[in-house]
This record gives sequence, structure tokens and C-alpha cells, in this order.
Amino acid sequence: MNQADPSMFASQLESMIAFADAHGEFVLGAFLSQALERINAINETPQRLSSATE
Amino acid sequence: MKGNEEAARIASAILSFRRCRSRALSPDIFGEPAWELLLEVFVADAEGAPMTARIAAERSETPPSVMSRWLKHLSAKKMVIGDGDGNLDDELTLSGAGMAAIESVLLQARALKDGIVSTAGFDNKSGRLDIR
Repeated sequence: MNQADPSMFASQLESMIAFADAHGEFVLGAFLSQALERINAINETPQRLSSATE
Repeated sequence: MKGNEEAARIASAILSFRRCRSRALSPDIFGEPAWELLLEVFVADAEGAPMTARIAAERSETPPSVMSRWLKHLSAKKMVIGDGDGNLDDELTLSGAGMAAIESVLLQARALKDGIVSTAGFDNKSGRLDIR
């Protein structure tokens, strides 16, 4: 799991959110969306750091 | 409780407390978007002011994608009345059941504040309120 590409987490979460929404599981969708927001924030941080050093 | 006015004051106080808590600590460690939305709609109802999920999301620093799904859930549970499709800009009101539930919770909040429950329905050992 540690070797996984973190950018894949976002797309996996998006698929899970779509699944939850399709089944009317909006509480699950809400928690997954919250997780996606956090993952996106983490994924964006290194980009900001690298661009700041250019 | 003296009607909606006092209930709205308690709801406003709870919302203020929650924002104070987030400022003092960090919004990252808290979160109950559905509760925030219900309280916001309750207060807005009492004040005759419009309320949307987008306004509630901004006030509680909840991402729109998250609040939209809580709105869909609360609509499906018939707690709030909007268009039911999770539109953040839809003007919301509480349903009768939603209003009754929130008023009940606020009444209990006032009772806890006033210490009434220490003599009735409150188990000091477990710290739980027995509501029947």
C-alpha cells in the first residue's frame, strides 16, 4: 500500500463516490467526498512546493 | 421553552460555540455538516431569513461536494425540504418532523444547561441521559 501511487487514490475514491451516489448512500458519499478533499489537498501540496522552488 | 425564539437563541449559541471551537483549535478535527445545516436552517426559519446549503457550507467550512451529499441525505430522510437533488443554492426549510426533532434536541440542550437532568433522567454513573 505504501508503494501505491497516491494520485490513484483520488480516482479510486471518485469511483467509490459514484457507486455510493448511484445507490442513494449519501452518508457514505459524504464521508468519501470528505476523504477525497483531504487526498486532493495532500496531492496538491508537493506540486505547490516543487513549483515554489523553480 | 418559550417557543421558537428561545430555541433559535440556543441554536445560534450552539453554532457560535462550534465556530469558536474551530477557531481556537482547528476545523480539521471537528465536523458534523448535517447538524450544522439543520441548525442553520432552524435559525433562519425562526428569523424569517433565507438559508441555502451553500451558505451553511461556507459558514461551517464544509466543502460543497460534502454538503451536497448531506443535503441529499437529509432530503431523503424528509428532515429538510428543498428540491431534493442536492442543489446547494436551493432555499431550504425544515419539514415538520425535522422541526420537531431539532426543537426536542434544543429543549434537551437547555435542560442540560440548566442542570435539570441531574434530578430526572440522568444517570450520573454512565453520564447518559435517559429520555423516554
